[in-house]
Amino acid sequence: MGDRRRFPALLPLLASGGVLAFVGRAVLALPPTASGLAVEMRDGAKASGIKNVVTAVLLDFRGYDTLLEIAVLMLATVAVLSLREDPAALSRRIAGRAGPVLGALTRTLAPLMILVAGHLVWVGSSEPGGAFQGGAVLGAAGILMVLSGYAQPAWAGRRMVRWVLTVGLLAFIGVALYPMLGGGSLLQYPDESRKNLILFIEILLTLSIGASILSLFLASASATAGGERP
Amino acid sequence: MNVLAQSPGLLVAVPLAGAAISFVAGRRRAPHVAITTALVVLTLAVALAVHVLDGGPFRYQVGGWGAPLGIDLVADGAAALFLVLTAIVGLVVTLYATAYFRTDDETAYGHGLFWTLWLFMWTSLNALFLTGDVFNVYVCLELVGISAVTLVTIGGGAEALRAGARYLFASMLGAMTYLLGVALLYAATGQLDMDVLRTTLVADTTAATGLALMIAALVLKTALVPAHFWLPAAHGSAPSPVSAVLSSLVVKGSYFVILRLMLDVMPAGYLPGVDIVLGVLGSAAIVWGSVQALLQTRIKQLVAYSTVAQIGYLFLVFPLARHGADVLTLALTGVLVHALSHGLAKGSLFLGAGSLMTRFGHDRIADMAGAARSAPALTFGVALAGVTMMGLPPSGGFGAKWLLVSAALASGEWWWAVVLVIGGLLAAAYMFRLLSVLLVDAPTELHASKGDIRTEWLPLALALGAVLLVLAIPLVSDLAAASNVLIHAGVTP
Repeated sequence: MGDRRRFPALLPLLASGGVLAFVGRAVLALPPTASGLAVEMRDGAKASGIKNVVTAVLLDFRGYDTLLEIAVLMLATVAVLSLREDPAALSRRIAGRAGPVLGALTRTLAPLMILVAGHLVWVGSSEPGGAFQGGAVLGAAGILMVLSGYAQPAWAGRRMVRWVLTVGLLAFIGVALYPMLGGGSLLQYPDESRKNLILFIEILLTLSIGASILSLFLASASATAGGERP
Repeated sequence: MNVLAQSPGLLVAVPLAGAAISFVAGRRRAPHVAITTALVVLTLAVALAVHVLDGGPFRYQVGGWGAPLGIDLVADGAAALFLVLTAIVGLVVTLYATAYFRTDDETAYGHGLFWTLWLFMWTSLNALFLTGDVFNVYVCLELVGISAVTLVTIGGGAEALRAGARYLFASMLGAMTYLLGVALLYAATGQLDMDVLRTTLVADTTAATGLALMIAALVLKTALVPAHFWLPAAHGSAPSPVSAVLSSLVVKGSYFVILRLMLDVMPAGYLPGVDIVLGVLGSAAIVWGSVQALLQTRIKQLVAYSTVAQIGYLFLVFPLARHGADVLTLALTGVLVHALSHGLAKGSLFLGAGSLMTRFGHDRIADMAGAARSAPALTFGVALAGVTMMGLPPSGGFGAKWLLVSAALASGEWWWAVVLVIGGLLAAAYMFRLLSVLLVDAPTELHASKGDIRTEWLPLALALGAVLLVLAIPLVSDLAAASNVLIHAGVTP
């Protein structure tokens, strides 16, 4: 019995060991320094007028990757929702209650976190920050509010919530398609409105990313708390 | 706006917009969103194919930056063929699904999200066929993987959840391995664009390791034997419209990237021996998958193992590609025709199997006698799809095998032709096993009420397409000639 169990475990172990050696050899063969596309990125960022190179890569040079990544994020949320049979059951399971400490903490923290989320998006064009960071903080604020009973957790079933989850992707697609009217290609922001368009996308993305995080949290919380599948 | 020149961008943006809109449209309007999207995407795919036939392959710079900084889409003949195949099968599956996932079925919560998930998957397949960037492939693979796994589980039930979990692990392992490969390749070369890599790739341990990992990951995603372990359960236990899409389209997505990397990006012999290994594994897949299909007692498991076998043919192009331009042209055209005919026929078989299961109320092949009498159109569709699977003339499957056998004989490596013949005979054996039961003239108690014009006739439509494909082979060879593989090999001027 023990042998039969140990043998199949040995195979993946050997396989991973082999891959590790193979990759290790490849990594050791690398030259000590490599520039990659760093020069092109700096020049491109200068041309685009977006000072933060990370934001320029994410939303401009490789904005297409990000568009699809946003789709991945929304898809993951839809995927989790599709596995849940009854969205209304959620509100019954997480009955958040605010004790004096959690209540006071939430009243202080939640507005501050929403403010920070806005700030992160705003500074994203020149300093570290942006929609993903802002969305993460916003989502965390939402989780805090649900846990302390300040927000209704009857989340996934509502039509309005679906709109919030989708609005970032819809705005991104709209902005991506807009340059085509003028003969440009997908996501080819016009130079004069580049900064404003990117800010517009980032603000709406922040809302959707925050909503996604909150939805994923609520859906997984309900799965561990109840586990009532038909 | 020039729709022809913009078609690559639109082929990704339109289904993506459809996915987002179907999510907020609500249960009743979502099917209409999906049908509209399907019609627009089919038009765009045909427009792109026409544009490629007229003016040859073209590149599309997303964001206007261009490689190496930006991401370029590549519209060539091979991509056009896969896009059109996806659009045709996609439209038929969408129409079939309107009958299969009834909107009045309130108990199935997940079903309301089928349309959104399916349009996300369609987006990612189109993106995968068009992308010219090795990192962007990773993003597309993530999108394909998550949507595919979720669609497998959408019908609920323990079996589907188990199959979905296994599929998820295989899919994640593939995606992570691919990403590791891209990281190594980028570290060694500083480039992500396939065309830049094609012209700049030099012998280098790190780059070769990266590419080898990428190929291995894609082989896992394509379910080539012995990495097929996740496929029969996932394709067999998914709802039938989903099985059709997974078998006829999704495995081709990752295969298409292997094709690009092996025959276009890497110079010949860059990874020595890998082409032979892929050919040998392909041959093993043909034999092993067919034998397993022969042993199955449940209809969808039979069809799923048949996919394992049919995937094998696609890999015979790699060893044959070493034998000069003429053999490469024959072999490439052969695998492209095979991908199309298998896509259409397998779509038909899974949709037909789904209809038979609904009508009979079970999936045991042995108890499906008499189907021909009470569901003639459906049975005829399954039989026609079987004809192309076996490679009998006149059918797309016959055209594909003819081209591949010619390539094998012209290369002097006749043993690949033997594999092709054995594969055809085994396919005949497992298809006859199914058909001999369906065609028995016996009284049956079918759920007549569950028949629907869509579920009866759409499988036949796809099967007819697979048979009539034989007439379109000249068109396919024109598009093959307009593929970057043949252009960069110097075959097409």
